[in-house]
Amino acid sequence: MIKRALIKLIVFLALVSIVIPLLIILIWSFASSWPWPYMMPQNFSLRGIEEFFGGYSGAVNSMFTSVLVGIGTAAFAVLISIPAARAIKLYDFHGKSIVDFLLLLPVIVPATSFAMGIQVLFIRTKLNDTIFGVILAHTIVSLPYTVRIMAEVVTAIGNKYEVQAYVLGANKKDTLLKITIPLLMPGLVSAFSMAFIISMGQYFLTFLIGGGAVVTLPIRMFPYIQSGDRQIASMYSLMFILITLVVLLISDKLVRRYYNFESTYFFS
Amino acid sequence: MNKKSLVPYLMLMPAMAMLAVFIYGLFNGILQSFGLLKSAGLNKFTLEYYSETFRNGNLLNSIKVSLIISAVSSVIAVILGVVLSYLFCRTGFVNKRAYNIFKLPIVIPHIVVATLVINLFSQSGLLARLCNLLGIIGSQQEFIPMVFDEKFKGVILGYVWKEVPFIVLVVATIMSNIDGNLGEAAQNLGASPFKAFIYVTLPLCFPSIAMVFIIIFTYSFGAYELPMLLGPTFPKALPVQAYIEYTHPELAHRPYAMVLNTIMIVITIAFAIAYHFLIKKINKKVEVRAYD
Amino acid sequence: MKGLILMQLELRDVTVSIGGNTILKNVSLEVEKGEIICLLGESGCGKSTLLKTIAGILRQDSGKIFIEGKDNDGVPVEKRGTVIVFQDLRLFPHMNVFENVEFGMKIRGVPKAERIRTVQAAINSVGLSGLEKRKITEISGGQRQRVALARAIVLKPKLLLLDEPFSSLDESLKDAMRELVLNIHKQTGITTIIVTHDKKDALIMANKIAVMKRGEILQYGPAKEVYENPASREVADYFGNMNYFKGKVVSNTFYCSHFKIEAPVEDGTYSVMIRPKDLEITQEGDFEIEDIKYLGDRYSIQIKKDGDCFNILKENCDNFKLNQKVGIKFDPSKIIYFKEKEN
Repeated sequence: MIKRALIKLIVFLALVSIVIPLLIILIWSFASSWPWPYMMPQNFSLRGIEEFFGGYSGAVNSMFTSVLVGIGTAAFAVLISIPAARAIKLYDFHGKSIVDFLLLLPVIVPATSFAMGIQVLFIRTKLNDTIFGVILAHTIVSLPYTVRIMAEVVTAIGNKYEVQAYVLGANKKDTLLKITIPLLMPGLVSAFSMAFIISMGQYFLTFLIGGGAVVTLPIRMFPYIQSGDRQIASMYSLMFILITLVVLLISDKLVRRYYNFESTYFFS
Repeated sequence: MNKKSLVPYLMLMPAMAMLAVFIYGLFNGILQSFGLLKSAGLNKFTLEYYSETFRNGNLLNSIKVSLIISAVSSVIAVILGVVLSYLFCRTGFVNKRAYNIFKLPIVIPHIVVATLVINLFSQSGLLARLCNLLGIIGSQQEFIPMVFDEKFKGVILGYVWKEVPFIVLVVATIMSNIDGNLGEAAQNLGASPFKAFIYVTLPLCFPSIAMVFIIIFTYSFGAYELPMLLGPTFPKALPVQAYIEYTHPELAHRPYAMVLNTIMIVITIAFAIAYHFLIKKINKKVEVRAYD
Repeated sequence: MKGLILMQLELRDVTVSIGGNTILKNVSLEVEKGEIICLLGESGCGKSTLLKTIAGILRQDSGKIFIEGKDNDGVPVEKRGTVIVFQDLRLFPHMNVFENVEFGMKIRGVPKAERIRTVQAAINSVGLSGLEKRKITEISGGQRQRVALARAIVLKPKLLLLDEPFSSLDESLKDAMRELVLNIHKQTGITTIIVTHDKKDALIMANKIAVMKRGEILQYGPAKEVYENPASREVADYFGNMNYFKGKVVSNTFYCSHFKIEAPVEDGTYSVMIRPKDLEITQEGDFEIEDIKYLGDRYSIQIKKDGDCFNILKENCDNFKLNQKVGIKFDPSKIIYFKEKEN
């Protein structure tokens, strides 16, 4: 009995240690004065919201930039991943193991080193300081995840339904539009949202490739954290979490409609 | 079937082109670390920058600091993660709604994690205030520095907070599958739940645990955000130091940055190779499990 | 008290529900020491659930489970001494053949020398000598089955529970495995309960058969009795396609549209069952031969009259042709009366 209670307590503590820091972010976002040593703010204000949506801070612009880059990255990564995943899972070819290994690299090798190594090339090709350049860089680091998700879906459905469609007399175009794409849909949505979230969270890569011209939310919020403005930093964090959750919720809804799909794990 | 052999390569082209850019970036950095940087008028292969780096205590210190940060945070995270996975499995918490809350940190970017850590653990943070309220400390300065400190406590805490849920997400799923099936069989053969876990479930989870360890170790080894935002002015973590060298006004100084980058690349690629073979092993295991 | 025989297993009114659905309803069962019992039924009838409940993997909502006369309520899985050989075998993939068989004894802390001796003997007795060091992936499906069996019998369980043990094997392997299980049973005398949907398993192996449907035991008794004197049409149907003639009994005579016959039962509405092999056809009558199928060792003949169809199994049918008019005859002692509800 004591053992059971102890286990329950540990599970509870684990949950609390996730939730409390997030709650503090929420409180800080609306605190105007919260001096030492008070446990709760002395005054609440909407300064954070005003600052964020007030135009002059550029936060709203940054939010749009972030979302634009995120969507661009996601669309790009998914488009590239579909044929790649199908090649890996449905065909037998030489060098498959090498492809697997290469696809692993961006997960394991730090984006920091990649960013410093590639900046010169991006400057020379005039991709630096452009949204497209940033999208390109983000796509590269999201690719391992999107390919893996698509590969999981491709493995799950195989090509048997397509073969069946051909057997029933469907042509290539019909099969693609009516069989392949609908079946891949849950994977597409998951891969899309995964790439979106990875892109949204990038700081260093955006910082170097965007070169100050592409100001995403993380770029905009970094100085606030450095200068110790907790209210603004918390407000940015809050917005960040909200956008991410909305995207996840939408994709979750979309995916659930097809079938329960446990998405690939990612860490970024 | 000549056609068949070409099709997959065509399908892989776009992805491989992207990866080529990635590898080009890495190679470019590595070449520069050997003093091959045309734009700075350097075109002679040399190991000079390496020997100088290894003589420079500052730079060496950065390597050491980064290794310690990632080793300590990853080990703590893996231990906590595996223990929690076990508890979550056995209590059936993995199937509860509240479990989703536990997944939250996975999608929260490190830059936001830095904000969380400062809010909670800085000398004027909530924890310090709580200690003050309880009379453990009398002023802010008495609170042990946990952020911007030379032991990188804040950085490690940040990584652990974000990594534990990631580990649980990966391990608990696999664990509960194995436990429900083979664990049940072990109990039926007379093993207590704990022994069934130690002899059967844990050994079978081990490859997955090693896999997540590699992912989080290499990530925390090379990431810039947390050590930059939560680390002290001295010593600096490897990626932070590399960027400082990178932004040196003189272009001829850049090879020093690239030496540090190359060290990060070599160490992480060694891990990538280990990971690659682990994955193969895990896939085999999955086949094993699928046999019956 | 139930006589002097000590029951190895006794279930009293066991009810089990999973997720709000009642899977087992008031199941009672007694198994004597050393018997082989078959739980026979289609998938979904609750037979596997019953096995898991006996093993303690599932807990009953009500009712009692006695093993060797002891109430097992609250005794955890690992302490019950009832070992299941799961349908999916669940061999440990990170251990080789020997380690798998050894597992249970190692857990119990049996000294090494004894362990090696027992495990080796078990491996020999299931015919796997020489494969001790093989990985589970390196042996065939039939061999895996033998490993699973050996892993269970080394523990000398109070009850050996086999869950659809032969369902994944092909016909020739099945026969060999049935033989093996019977041999092992002869040597060890372990009380064994086999869950199966294959009537052949049950008839060949079981001392007693319990036919299950919808979470209830329809009939439980010696194999021969269950086969020859089924308690209901449902039990009878489990052993094959039967012929039924519906009619009434009035003062010891059964009347139906096709014949009348002296009946040793009380008045009422009845279905009379005649097995296809007990029904014979004659050259004179007003039934018509609808179909003749060749089954290799015999013929299956279908006859029809007024919309009623009947099946006959015959060793040869040289004298009969399709569409021929025929009559029927049967030995009255081979027919079985099932009372129907009046309506």
